[in-house]
Amino acid sequence: MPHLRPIALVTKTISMKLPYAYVLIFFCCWMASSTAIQAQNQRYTISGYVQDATSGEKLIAANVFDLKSLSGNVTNNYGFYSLTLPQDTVYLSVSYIGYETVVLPFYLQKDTVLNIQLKSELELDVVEVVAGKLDRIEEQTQMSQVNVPIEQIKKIPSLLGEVDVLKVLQLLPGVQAGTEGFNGLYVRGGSPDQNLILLDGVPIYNVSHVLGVFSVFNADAIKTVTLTKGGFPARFGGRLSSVLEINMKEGNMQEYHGEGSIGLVASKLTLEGPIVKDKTSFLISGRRTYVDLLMRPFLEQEVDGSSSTPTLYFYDLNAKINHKINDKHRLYLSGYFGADVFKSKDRFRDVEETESGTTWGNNIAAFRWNYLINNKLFSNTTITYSRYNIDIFFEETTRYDGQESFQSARYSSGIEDVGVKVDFDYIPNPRHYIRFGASLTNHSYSPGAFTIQERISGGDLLDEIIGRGKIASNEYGLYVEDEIQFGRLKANVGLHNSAFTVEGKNYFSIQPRVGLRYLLNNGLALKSSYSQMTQFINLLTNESLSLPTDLWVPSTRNIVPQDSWQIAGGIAKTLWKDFEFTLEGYYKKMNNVLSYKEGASFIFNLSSDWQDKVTQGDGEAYGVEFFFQRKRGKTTGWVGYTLSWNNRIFEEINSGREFPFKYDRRHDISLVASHQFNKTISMTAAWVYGTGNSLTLPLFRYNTAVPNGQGGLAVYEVETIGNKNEFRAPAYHRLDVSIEFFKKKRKYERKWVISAYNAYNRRNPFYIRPGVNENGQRVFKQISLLPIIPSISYNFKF
Amino acid sequence: MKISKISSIPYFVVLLFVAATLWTGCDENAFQKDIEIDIPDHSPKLAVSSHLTQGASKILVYVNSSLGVLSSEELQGLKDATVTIEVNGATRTLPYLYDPLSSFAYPEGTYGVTGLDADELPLGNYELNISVPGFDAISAQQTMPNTVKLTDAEYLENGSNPGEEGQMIFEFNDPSGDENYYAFDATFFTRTTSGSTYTQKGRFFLEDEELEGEFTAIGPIVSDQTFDGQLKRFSFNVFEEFAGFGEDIEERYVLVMLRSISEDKFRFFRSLVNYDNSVDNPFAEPVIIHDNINGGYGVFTAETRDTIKLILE
Repeated sequence: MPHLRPIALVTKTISMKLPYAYVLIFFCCWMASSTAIQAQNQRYTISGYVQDATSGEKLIAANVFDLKSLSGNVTNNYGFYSLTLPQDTVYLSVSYIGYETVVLPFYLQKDTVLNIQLKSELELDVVEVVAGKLDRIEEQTQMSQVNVPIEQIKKIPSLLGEVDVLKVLQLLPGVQAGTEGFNGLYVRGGSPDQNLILLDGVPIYNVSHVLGVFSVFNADAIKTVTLTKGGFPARFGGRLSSVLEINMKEGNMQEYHGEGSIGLVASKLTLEGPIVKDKTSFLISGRRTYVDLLMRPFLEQEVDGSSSTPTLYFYDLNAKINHKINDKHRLYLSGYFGADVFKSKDRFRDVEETESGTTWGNNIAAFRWNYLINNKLFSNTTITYSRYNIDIFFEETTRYDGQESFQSARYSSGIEDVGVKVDFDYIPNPRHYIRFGASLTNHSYSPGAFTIQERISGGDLLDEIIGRGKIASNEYGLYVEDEIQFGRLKANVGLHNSAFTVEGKNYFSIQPRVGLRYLLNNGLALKSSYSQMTQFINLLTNESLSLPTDLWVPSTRNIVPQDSWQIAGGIAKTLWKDFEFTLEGYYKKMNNVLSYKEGASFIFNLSSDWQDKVTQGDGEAYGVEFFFQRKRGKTTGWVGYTLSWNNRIFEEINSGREFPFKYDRRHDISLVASHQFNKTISMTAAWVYGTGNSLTLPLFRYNTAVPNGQGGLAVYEVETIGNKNEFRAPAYHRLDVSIEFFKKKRKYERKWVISAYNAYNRRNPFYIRPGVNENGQRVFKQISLLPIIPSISYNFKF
Repeated sequence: MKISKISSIPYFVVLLFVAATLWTGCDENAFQKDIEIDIPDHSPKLAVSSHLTQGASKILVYVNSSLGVLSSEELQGLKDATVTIEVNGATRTLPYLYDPLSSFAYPEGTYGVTGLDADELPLGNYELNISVPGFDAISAQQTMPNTVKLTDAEYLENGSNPGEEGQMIFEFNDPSGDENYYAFDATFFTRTTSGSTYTQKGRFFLEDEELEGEFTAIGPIVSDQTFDGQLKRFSFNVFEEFAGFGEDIEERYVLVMLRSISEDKFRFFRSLVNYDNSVDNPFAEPVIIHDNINGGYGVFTAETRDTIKLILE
């Protein structure tokens, strides 16, 4: 029995009627069965929101459970819950990770609204905080999903002291990092474009700054991070390999707060608070690097009237407004704006001025309307906008004999989405949790265009545009799923339908999804899942590095959509109150995956169509993942291990023979441990080990000869590879450590964080090529990227 | 851990960072090192290159042998090969052609004949056989492609001065059925009143958006996959590197050439371009040079040509 606390935070009770107006026709069968059950006894519904007592933040996936009937539910993404129970005494237990559990005993005799506020354990002096029944991993039907608390993410040592959500996810089993130090996520054998990354429900296309060294997610603005690797519920669609949901904080409804940090490369500041107390709140969070400002005195050069001024920085701005109209209606407006700027301004005396550079970034916005239709039916309508754009430019102005000439060349490409989505949560009784909804997204792709402008000696401006124009497409989605409980068996059964229209071509896809959980007597859960996925958009990228020039392109008449199916099975159990243990096996088959043809380069090239550079083939990935995690306590962290295989087969690559994917890693181990020594000092260490990447190496060499144009032959030495990816680079391993020093002052808290990335200076392989050593012998040379990198940052909170 | 011990942690951390920074900064090989990777031993095989042209005056065959990628030996042409070429039932043995005085034209390891009549390299099926003591014998087959005639060719010069970019047009009827491959070529000739003749290869730039080909050492190449059996007209921007400045010009003309190349030639030159792009590029997919030699490595190709002479103003 959880620690009992008095009822203190119940805010309102009202009765509700039962409207059916928003229920779609194809749910009638489900609803008929649900209402039939309900009619057997006099049943009433308890509903409301669960939120943080101090900030008013809604708590996602909080556990609401009746200890008497052993029925319960969890809150949805907006903190809403609904629980329908027979007329009787109820002991309503409400719990959430890191919060004090409350138990509310009362007699249920009418529909009841309970908005429940939980106190964070950080605000409590001594309290036994245990997992609620339903937030235990063995109670959840969902498998292959990991939640990492944001406070834990912030503790994990990071490159140059910049907390990075994506790099933390790379430490999880089933997730492979790509190139060292960069942000590629390879989930269960998939490629980075197969990850649906949602920031407040809006797809974000470029998740990297500085070529992938940093991610665009500012941890101070984030509330939750959830990664789903398999067993996808029907509400998700559009990507093959994973769904990463990142939800921004809503803003404190009660009082003003702020936090920030000053680091070696960037500083950030987050402010939040009520605009109208308990009614409207805001959150604004900004981050900017300042290497360019610090280095400007050293980089700026002025010699003999000529100068050069380079600029390199990135910034992020997250903003959100949350307005509660009344108990039924709530509005959210959130946005993210971020960009990388890399440019140089050069002046040659008074004769010539040039400015060249590259800028790239995302702008996204989401407007959401929560409507509590009744105490069992919750709706959320979202209008989304997402844009990613890259601009490469060169401008030159020359002055000669009193005449001024101007010429410029500009390359632009990107993707722009406008979408609308309606989602419903219908909870007729504790045995059913039905979700259904529909979405429409208009994608507008710009695969790349050059604009050239020229004005000679004060004449007219001449314009020329070269390259392909925009490609428009529409993506439609429709889904229904039901989380059903039959005694010890729980099932999530659903169907996701999607359609895609592009250039007069229509693609349709029906994707069944099933997740099952059976609870054994000893509390061990057996889980399994099956899911089919279809993906209509592709990222043209190389396997090693995420570049801003990577192109998002649609399926076309020639490039058919990617699809996959995945089956997974495993066990899960909570051990010793707050240790979670999962062991899962999976098999994933991917069809029509994209790859560059042999020899094709990633660099954009307008002289040929991108479709000519790619080829489609199949892939398979299978393996076993072990995960042992502790989220609470003085010592937290996890042990993760993955044993996996990941292969590809393309008719046009490796002579049609199957080959291992570049990031096929047989063994992948991660150990993350964080320990709070006392109120002022904590230390975290993360060690990772992975089998080396698969490699293609030249095996032998010979001379080839071609006509030299003068009647003879010219000879070239060529090296020839064996099978693609048949060798292994040396193993990858690295230790990151950090130490934090807290101090609580009268009006604020401060924290110094000192960390070391790659603490024992392991030279991990980035690239291997043949070369010649000091003795003139031919050898393989390994190029490494990141040695030990120490960093320090100052953080504050008020 | 006792709190008293913890209080010394900051000093250790600072010391660690100072040491690490010095260590990293002083290590000049921090980013590169030699490593050992087990790769299978390589058994050397013969490697050959030969590119036949119907009606040409010479046959050249270059012979060498492969070496393991980590072998410290230098690649060298082989002198003791027996090279024969058979066409339509007639076999010809090719002598060693290497001449130290003309190694630029015929590198060491070259076999062949020169001064052939036009009918000595006819249409038909060719077989190349090579044996060298200590190596397995190798062979290769090639069929001379049928000549495809140019139905029209034009060169539109931009501006009035020679040596500028112009537009080159090739028109031909692609035979239907078989898969055909083409290469485009233009050679500019400038004859001066003093009797000198300057020859310059035209440099091609893509104009035609339909062309799905590659720019190679033998010019742009293309397969007829998208225009099989059609009358096809290609347009290129061609830059003539004019070489007769300062002299009185008697005649200028351009030889416009349509090459019908074998599939092996198309694949070989395409792979060579891709190979060049991938060398020392950690982000490019690795490339295997196209190979059609039985029992060894290298390439044996064939082509036929049709040429039109255009007189330039």
